Amino acid sequence: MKELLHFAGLFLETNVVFGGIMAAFLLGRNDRLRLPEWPLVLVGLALGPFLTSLVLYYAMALWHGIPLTVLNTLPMLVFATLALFAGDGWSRLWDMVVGIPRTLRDRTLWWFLAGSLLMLAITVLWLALRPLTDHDVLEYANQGRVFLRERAIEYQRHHYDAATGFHYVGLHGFSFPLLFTWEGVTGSLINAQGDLWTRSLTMWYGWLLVAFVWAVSRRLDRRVAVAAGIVLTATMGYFFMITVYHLDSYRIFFFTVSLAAFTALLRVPSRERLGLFALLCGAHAFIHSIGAILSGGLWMLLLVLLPGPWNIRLRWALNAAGVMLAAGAIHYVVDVFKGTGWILQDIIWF
Amino acid sequence: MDARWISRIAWGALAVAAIYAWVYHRHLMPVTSEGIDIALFSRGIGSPVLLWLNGYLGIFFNLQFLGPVGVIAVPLIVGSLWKWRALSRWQRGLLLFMLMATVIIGLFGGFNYRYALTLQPLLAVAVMAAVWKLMQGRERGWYLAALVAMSMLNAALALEHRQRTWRADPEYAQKKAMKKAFPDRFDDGPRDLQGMLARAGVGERDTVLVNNLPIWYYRTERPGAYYWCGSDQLFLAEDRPFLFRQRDDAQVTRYLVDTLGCRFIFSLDEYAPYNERFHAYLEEHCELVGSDDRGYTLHRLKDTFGR
Repeated sequence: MKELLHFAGLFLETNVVFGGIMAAFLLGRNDRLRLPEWPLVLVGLALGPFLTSLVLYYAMALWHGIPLTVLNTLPMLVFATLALFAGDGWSRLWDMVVGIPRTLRDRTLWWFLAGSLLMLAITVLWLALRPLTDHDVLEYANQGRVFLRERAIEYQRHHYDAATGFHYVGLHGFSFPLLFTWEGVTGSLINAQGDLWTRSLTMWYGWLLVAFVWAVSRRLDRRVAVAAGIVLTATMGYFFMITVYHLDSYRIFFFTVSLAAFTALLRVPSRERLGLFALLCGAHAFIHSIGAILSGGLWMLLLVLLPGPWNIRLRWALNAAGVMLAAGAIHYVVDVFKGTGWILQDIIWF
Repeated sequence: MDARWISRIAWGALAVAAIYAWVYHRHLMPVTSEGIDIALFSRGIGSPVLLWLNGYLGIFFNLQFLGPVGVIAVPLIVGSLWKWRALSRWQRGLLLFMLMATVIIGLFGGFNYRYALTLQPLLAVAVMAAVWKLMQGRERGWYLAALVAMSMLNAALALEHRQRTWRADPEYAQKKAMKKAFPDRFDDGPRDLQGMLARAGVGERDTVLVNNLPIWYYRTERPGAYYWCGSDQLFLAEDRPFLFRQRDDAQVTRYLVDTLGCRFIFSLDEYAPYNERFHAYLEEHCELVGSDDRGYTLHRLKDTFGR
C-alpha cells in the first residue's frame, strides 16, 4: 500500500505538476515560439521527469554526498521558480484543459481515447504483475541505486561499485538511471522502496509519443491522425517498446520532438525556437549515446542550413551548443576526458 | 511530377510492400537457429541478406518489428532527392538528416531493432503527410485505409512467424505442457533468490560469480563478481579480463577461488548456447546447489574448501 501511495504521489508531483509547469512555461512563451499548442503541452509534460533528472545530475555531480532532504527539495525549488515565470501560460493551459470535453465531440478522437484506455489497461496489468527483470533496465536501475546510496556522481574509467561488485557497462547519459534515483530519493521520505513509478515511465512516454504523432498529424486532417496512430502502434516493435521496461520510449519521444523542433526552426528561425530545439536535443543526448550522436548531426545541419551569413549562423549554432551541453550533453564531454572515454574508448583500447 | 505518376508510384510502393511482407515473413525469416549463430538468429540477422534487411537497412525493411511505412518511404526519399531543387529549406534538412540517421543507425546499431525503431514516428508522419499533400480527393482516403490495412496484415504475419518459431523449438511442447499460472507469464525473474541462497549455504559476504544477471544486484545486497559468458569477460574494478581464454579448467578454478574469492556461480540455463566451455565447466567442476523452474541456477565449485 505504501508503494502504491508513493507511486501516486510521485506521478502527481513529477509527471503532472512538474510536467504541467513546463507546459505552462512553454505556452507562456508561445507568442514568440508560435508553435501548435497541444504538441507543445505534450513536450512540457515530457520535460517534467527529464528536468528532474537533470537537477539531480548537477546537484550530485557538484555536491558529493548531498543530503537527501536537499535532493528532495531542489527539483521543487527549480520548478516553483519556473512556475513563477510561466506568465499567461497558466491561463492558456487552463483554457485548453477546460476545452477538452468540447474537443471530444470529434469522433475521430474516440479512436485516440480507445487506444489510450487500452494502453492504460496494459500499464495497470504490467505494473501489477511484471517486476523489473530484464537485463538492460536492471543495469540502469542498479546504477540509479548506486547514485542514491552515494548521493554523488563521479566520473571514472569503469563504473564499478566496490560495495557490491556491480559494474555498470552503460556509456549513456545518466538521465534514466537518475529517474530510479529520484524514486529512491522521494521514497526515503516515507521509507518506500518500490520502482513502480520508474517502470510506469516506459508506458507514459510510449503514450506521449503516440499523442504527439497524433497531435502533429491532426493538423493535416483528422483521418491522417487516426491512420498515423494505427500505423505507428500496429507493430511488434511498438508493443515491445511499451511492455518491456526500458528507456526506448523515453529516448524516442525526445528524438521525435527534437526533430519536430528542428523542422520548426528551419521553417521560421527565431531565438526561442533555437532554445527549445537545443533543450530537446540536449535531453535526447542525456538519455542515450545515440541521442548525442544524432543531436550532433542535427546541430551540424543547422549550421549549414540556417539562413543568413556564416558569422550569424555560427553564433546561433554556438548558442545552441551551449544550451545542449547545459541540458545534459556535457556528460559526454566530461566522460571522454575524465571518465570511461565514452565510445572513443573502443578506438583507444581495443 | 504528373499526379497520375505519383498515384502509380504510391500504389506500386504499397503493392511492393505487401509482396515483400509476404516473402519476408514466410520465406526469408528462419524459424530455427539450426546452422546459425544463436546471437545472430535472435537478432534476426543470421544470413547476409537478413544482415542487410534487418541490420544495416533495418530502418526501412525490418518488418519483424517495424511497419511497412519504411518500405513505402524509400520511393519518397528517392523522389525527394530527385526533386532536391524544389524542396524548401526544412524539407532538405529533414531529408539530409534522414540519410545521415540511416547511415549512423545502420552502422552503429543495425544489430538491434530498437535503434531502427527510433525513426518510425518520423517515417509514419512523413509518409502520411506526403500522401495527404501529393494525392487528391477520395484517393488519399483510400490510400490511408490501404496503408492501415497493410500495417495490420504485417503485424499479423509477424505474429504468425513468431508462433512458428515457438513451435519449431524442440522444447515448445514441453513448455506448453507446463501451463504457467497467469501471473507467472509476466514474471521471469528468479522465483526465490534469497531462499535459494540460504538453502545452498551461501554466506552474506560470500562473493558469487554472477553471469550477466544484474537482477542479483537489484534483489540482493551481496557481493558478486560480474561476468558475461558470451564474451568470456569479467567486469572488475580496473579491468575486463577474460576468464577462460588462455586458462585450462584447473587454472580457472584457482583464479576463481584465489583471486576472485568465488566458490559459487549464479547463472541462467538460457545462456548455455553462448559459451559451451563455460557450461561444460559448470557440468564437470561444479555441483548444482540451487535452481528454479525459470531456469536460474546456482552452482558450487567442487572440492575447493580445503584450499
